[in-house]
Amino acid sequence: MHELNEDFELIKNFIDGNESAFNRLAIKYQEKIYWHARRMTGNHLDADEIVQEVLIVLYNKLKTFEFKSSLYTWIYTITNTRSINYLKKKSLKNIFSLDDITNKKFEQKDVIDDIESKQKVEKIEKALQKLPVKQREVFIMRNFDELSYEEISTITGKSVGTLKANYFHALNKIKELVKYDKF
Amino acid sequence: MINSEEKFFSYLKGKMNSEEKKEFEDELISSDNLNKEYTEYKKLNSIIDETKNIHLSKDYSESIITDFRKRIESKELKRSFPMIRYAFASIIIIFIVGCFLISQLNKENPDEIKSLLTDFSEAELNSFSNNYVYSTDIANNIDDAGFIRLDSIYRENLSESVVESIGKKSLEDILSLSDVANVDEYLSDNEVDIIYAQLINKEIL
Repeated sequence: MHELNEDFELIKNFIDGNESAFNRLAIKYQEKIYWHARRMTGNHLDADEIVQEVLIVLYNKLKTFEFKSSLYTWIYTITNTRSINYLKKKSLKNIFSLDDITNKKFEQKDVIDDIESKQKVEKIEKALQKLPVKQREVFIMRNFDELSYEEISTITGKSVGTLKANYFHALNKIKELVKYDKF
Repeated sequence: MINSEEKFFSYLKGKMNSEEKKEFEDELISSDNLNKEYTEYKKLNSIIDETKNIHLSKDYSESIITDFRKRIESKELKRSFPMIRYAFASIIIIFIVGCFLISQLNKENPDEIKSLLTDFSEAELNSFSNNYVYSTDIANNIDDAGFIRLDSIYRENLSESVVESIGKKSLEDILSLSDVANVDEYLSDNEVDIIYAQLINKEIL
């Protein structure tokens, strides 16, 4: 409740012209946006691009936010949609260009200070990239963000039954990777 | 399997009340299969938990807002000159629409011309040709007979117009000075057409 009030205050201040209120909102949610985008795309460069896109969307659309859902759900929906669109665009681009090669060249930028954590993240990323996008999104939302199927359904617009089926396949694949230590 | 997963999820995330928790623990003890599944799930869950709360480096966190502000500034700069883009687009649209309309208006329907030749008397056609500018496109849209008829009307009108515009006496003077009266003898039909066209362009006809 406190968080809702805080978001409401920040949005109100931003609409009244206080730019620093938007900065505070961005700082509050930027890590969540980044990690969802990174888990979906599997690399820093794409995640960074998505973070910027999402912040621009928030900046332009925040005035129209009606508090029908929590700000977090709204931001999560935008991030997820942007990530999926980005992946679609990227797969199309990769057919015609050498984008993937150039990405790998610049991917080494350090955004995680601890080496051990970095290795763990990379392992998880590799495993997630082995899942189809539909399975990946539900697996990430369920396991990393601990969302219920109902919440995931609100964000993705898919039925709970479809989500459960996708999650079931994703979980089995990931469990296999863990079992044979391919993680 | 899905139901089991939901129970594992709720148990590990602390979303069960004490009664549900006790019931689940009893199930785990009584079923080896469930216990095996739970162990696998727990292992996966611990790997995920290890990466769940990793924080971004301070440098990168700070750069997100800086980069965002730069992007917003450059977007606003682009937005401050929208009128130029709109004006340019408007000019192009007006030009295209104008060209289209002119091309539509200039289309002459040969059937209409043919019906004019049959529906109106020679005197009426004479009157029309005196009042309207001759179009070279007509030649492309009517048959030879129609063209010859129109041509004869224009020729008559041409001589009348010349007489009217320069006066009868001046014309007699000109004709007496040179042999222009026999001009038809040494001009081809094409040349005559070109002269007509030039006269039309100068709006003498």
